[in-house]
Amino acid sequence: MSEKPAGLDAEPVISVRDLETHFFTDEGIVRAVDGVNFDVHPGTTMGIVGESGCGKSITAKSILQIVEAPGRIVNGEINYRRGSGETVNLLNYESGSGNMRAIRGGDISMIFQEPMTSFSGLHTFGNQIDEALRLHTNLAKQERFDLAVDWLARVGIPNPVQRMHEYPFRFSGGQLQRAMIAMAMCTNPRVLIADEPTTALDVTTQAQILDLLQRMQEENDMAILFITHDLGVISEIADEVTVMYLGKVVESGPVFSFFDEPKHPYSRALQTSIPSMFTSSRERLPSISGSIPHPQNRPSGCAFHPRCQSFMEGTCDVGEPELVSVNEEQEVSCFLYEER
Amino acid sequence: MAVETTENGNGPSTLLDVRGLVKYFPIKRGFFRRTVGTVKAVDDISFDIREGETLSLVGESGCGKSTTARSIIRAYEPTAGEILFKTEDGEAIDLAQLSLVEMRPIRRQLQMIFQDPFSSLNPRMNIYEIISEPLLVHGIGSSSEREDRVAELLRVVRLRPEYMRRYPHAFSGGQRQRIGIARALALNPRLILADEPVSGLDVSVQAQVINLMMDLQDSLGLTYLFVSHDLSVVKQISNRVVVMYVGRIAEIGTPQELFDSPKHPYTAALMSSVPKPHPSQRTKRYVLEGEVANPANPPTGCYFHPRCPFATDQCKVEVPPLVKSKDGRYVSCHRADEIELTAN
Repeated sequence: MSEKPAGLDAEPVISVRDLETHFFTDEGIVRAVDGVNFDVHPGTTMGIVGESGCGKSITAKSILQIVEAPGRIVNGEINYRRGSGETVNLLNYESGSGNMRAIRGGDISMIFQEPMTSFSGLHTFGNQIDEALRLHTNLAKQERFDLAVDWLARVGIPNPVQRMHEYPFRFSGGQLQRAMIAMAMCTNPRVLIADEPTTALDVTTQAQILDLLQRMQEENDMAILFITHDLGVISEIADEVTVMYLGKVVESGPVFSFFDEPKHPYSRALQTSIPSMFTSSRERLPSISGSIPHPQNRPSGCAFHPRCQSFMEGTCDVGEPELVSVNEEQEVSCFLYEER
Repeated sequence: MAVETTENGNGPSTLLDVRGLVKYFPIKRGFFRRTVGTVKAVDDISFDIREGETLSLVGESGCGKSTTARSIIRAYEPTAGEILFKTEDGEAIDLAQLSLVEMRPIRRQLQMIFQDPFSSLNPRMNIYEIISEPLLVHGIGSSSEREDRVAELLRVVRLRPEYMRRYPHAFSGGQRQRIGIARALALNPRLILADEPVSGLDVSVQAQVINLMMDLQDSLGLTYLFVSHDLSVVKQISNRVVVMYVGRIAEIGTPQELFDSPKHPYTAALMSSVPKPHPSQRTKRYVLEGEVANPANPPTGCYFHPRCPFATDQCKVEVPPLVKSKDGRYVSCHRADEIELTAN
């Protein structure tokens, strides 16, 4: 076991409680995020793992209140601990209020999955990074320019001064992702939300970006909320893991416990069914039967029960399991672990 | 080694032999669409596929792996080179020389599975129409025979034949990919070209499709050319792997060889970039500096030299040929026999 990062014992910088974000569509209400709880500690990385439709991206967008209509946060608290030690519930701020805008992009920054579509094609890169600095710092124009150039150089973009005057189409995918990281980092945020930042990139570029994020974290003691479906990336970068399935947290705990002793049948099935460079060639992997249900037809009881190896009739399809502690560090929501 | 047995004539015979394949795309600019340059998407590559094996093409985006597969099936016109395909009667035909009319009967033996199961099935055709279309095009069977064949194919890919009147929207991503596989199998092909067949699927569904593809290979004696950027999937499904970099081959070997003892510095960097499956294996990664070379304006000599920690003056001017190294592996690196590499 490696030593635990010191930050895990510190007060969480973000604490999400009972978050519910629903989408009010013509076909009915989709409970995209349905009672989610987790903490993010300073200087550490919380990995949120899940597949399509599990609500991981909506959870991230809920923190910054950038959920698009018809989605709406209907319940919960997002407690943010400021540098001064004061804790505020971000959901008490209106999405468009000055307080929220100061936090969004200032204290808490976000980088997105598709670097190619996250920039405006009509403005130079320098213009776009300057906007973030104009909103969140009191620096003069030349100081902002120098700071932006400095950040571009730090994320490894060659000729940063020249690049400031270029449009995003001149950048490669990996460069754009690095530029987006520079833009998110230039305001010196205390929390970085990274939503699948490497999914669209090649493995070699992915390795560069993961290295960069880890270096930035060490330098700034920044907390990272890292959202991904890729367990390999989680094993490389996360200190703690929260696993989501159809809008709910099914398991959470430190990364080592998650890989050594996954508790929830979904976590276990995920780990055994994904090929890795260490499984032998031409081996048949145990596969998870069925597919992820459409959020409109959420199965009764535990949402994973139709695909679960440990399905118990009359229990799993009737009641919903609660997230309970199974030991000092791990929490799981599964009837296998509930006292009955 | 597998390579040796073939050359001695004992092993499985070669189904497809690609020799010196080249595919350039012209860059056209301006009002008169003048050609101002060429993108060297595939630049003189040679490899073979043996009957019953899975050969994978791997590399970063833009390395020419999909272009190679598409040139083989003649979706693109190869610029130069030979594509020798052994037909059922044992005769080797150069696919690159055939006219599109001559190509049509051969296409029965070469089928393709696509990446995106959401855009590769026509939403206005039901499953019966989608899977029976290749039979119809090639004029095979009566309508009731075709229906029986579709039902059989659906059972083969583990879908219920009762579903054949449903439309694609009623199926999940994994099920749609299996429909795509059933369509590819309809004509009893001998070689299947699969371009990123599991990349668009959720991770919990990927294993179902990979297992199905391996089972079908065993039961139907299929040969796969598998194109993917996901090295873990490639490792699981392949017998041999071709590593490509900017339109050229860096190295050919078994997945185990490439992972345990890479010979080309690019292979080592690629393998080292793959995330480790357990946090205790976190190590200092061998991170490649710089960007992938531009195939429209590639560097001189070995295309990898600007990013290679082992590059010498020779690498800057001389293109390394793909040669068989002492232990029977194929590598294109001037220094393959001198340098010690590890992927971990």
